[in-house]
Amino acid sequence: MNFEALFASLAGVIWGIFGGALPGISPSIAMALLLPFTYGMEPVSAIVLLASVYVGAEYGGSIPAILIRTPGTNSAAATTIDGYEMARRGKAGEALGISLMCGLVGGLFGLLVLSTATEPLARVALAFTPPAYCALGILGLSVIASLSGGSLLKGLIAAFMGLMVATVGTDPVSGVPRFTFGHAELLGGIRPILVMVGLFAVAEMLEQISSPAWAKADARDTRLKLPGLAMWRRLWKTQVIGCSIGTLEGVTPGAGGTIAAFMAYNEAKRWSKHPEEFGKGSPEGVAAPECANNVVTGTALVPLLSLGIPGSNSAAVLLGGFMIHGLIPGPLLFQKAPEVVYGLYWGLLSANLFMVLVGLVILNPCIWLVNRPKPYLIAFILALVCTGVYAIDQSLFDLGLVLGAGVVGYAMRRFGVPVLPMVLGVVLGFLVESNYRRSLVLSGGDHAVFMQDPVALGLLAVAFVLTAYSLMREFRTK
Amino acid sequence: MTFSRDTALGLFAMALAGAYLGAGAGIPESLLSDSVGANGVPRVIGYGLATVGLVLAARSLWRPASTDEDDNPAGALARAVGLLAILVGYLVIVERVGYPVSVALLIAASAAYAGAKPDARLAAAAIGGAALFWLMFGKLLGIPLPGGIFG
Repeated sequence: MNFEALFASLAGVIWGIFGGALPGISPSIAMALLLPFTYGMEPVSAIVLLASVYVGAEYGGSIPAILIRTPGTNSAAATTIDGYEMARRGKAGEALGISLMCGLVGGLFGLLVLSTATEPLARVALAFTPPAYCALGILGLSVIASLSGGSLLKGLIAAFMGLMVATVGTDPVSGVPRFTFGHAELLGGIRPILVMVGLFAVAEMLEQISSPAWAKADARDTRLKLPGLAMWRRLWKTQVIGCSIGTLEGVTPGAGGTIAAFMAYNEAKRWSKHPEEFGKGSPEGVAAPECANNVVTGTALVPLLSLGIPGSNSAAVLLGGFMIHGLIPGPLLFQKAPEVVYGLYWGLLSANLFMVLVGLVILNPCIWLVNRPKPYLIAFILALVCTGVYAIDQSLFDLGLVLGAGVVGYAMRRFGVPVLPMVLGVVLGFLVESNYRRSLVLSGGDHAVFMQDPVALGLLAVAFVLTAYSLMREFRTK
Repeated sequence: MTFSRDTALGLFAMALAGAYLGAGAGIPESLLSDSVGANGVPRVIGYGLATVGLVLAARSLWRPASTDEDDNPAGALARAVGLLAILVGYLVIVERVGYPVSVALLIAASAAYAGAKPDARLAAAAIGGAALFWLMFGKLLGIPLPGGIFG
């Protein structure tokens, strides 16, 4: 790996963290914005630059999630639960430290999997048929019970509301418009990030406007705090969970970091010695999703490199980067341009290390920023939200949707309805419905297709066991 | 029987489900449609929501929750509505007035509404913040922001 590629890695991480931290700039947008600059670059440097943006953006999304309850990316939504609670309790520095170091562990593990197990894992990706994708979405929805905050009925109401939002737009099979009410802007559906920004950030500001001023933070609480030995001991099991789930979800095209983060959060809670702390500022609640979504930055490249299948928007932009330089990802890439593949591995390694270095430099100023006087902080968060949302599609209609979601989020708080099941419904609704119906089209309407596909059957069985276990625990604690 | 927030939530869920099912009934049929149909899954979601709403409302009527208190007084709701009005105001003027001026007004208005004193510091924060966002999104990221009165 030459100096140019190393510099590209550093620049990519900085740009990625910056983009990921801005609501509205997704990892794929941050990558796409740099795509034109890669034309004149060496192929290795170009690919390393784009992959480093991806690594940086996935991490950057968690910074506003922890500090201002605004996930910068979809996959950072699960981090808001305990990250923001830790910040509210004066532990923002500790939460950011855990997020940074668990992100590093996840990123390095993902790279290890990518570089050693690409070929066998590619077969897993190929085994995913529409019934399996549908079952994967149902598995994701099975965590609703444990995200319901003690009221399963209210959690279900939220989840159904999320699923309702996911049905807005063009029907995935017949192409007819549904619930668009004549608005062309709704034909493509409602982006999950719009709902999340409204439910989390706008609703929080509506709540904060009538709350008393924040107490002045202690100087020790406003500094980044990396996890010590005792914390690492506490988090090891969580990280094993994050790494396992991140690997499975990452190699599955279309699954992605969001499902991985929520499932890792759920499993970390299930296996924790302190499940009662989850939702109230648990360090494990930050570590699990951060580890999982950073594993995905490596493992999501498995189907791209081995089969040429871009499993996510970010992988699709990376595929564009390969094609600009006349490279076609797939089995032949390892023979025709091994220097690019190995350069990418080294680039991902340096990107993860640079992520920590850059994080150490920028996190203290970020913590300082959120400890400014409350009126100014509210004003700047709202300006950031309004600008970031507009940046997605240059649409004021989207901003209206975000304000609407903010009102819904505020009302849900007043009625004690948890918002996370709604987020899960919005994220997974389309995946479940489109693949359920595709499966039935392929089987001629026979539901037995879900029992005949071994992957689907396995995932449905796991979903059933997880749901039954969560329900039993819910009823036992009442 | 007591009418609580859970009862209201349950009834609201049923009403929402009814409206959703009603809107779903208007989805046109297509020759390309499958056995489930474009309205098949929405129907399941609508009936599911209605059922959960009914169970919640019934349970809250017969077995009211002990912690069912409104800890968010009407004053808080009024404050939230005020902030929402500022945001809607931004939404209305941004295309006409332009991004830099609108976002400066948004920062000034929301900070003042949240308790900042209307002084030179507030003006500097509004102008500086607007310039920062404009440079970051408009110039660095190249996102076309509404020009408004500046064309």
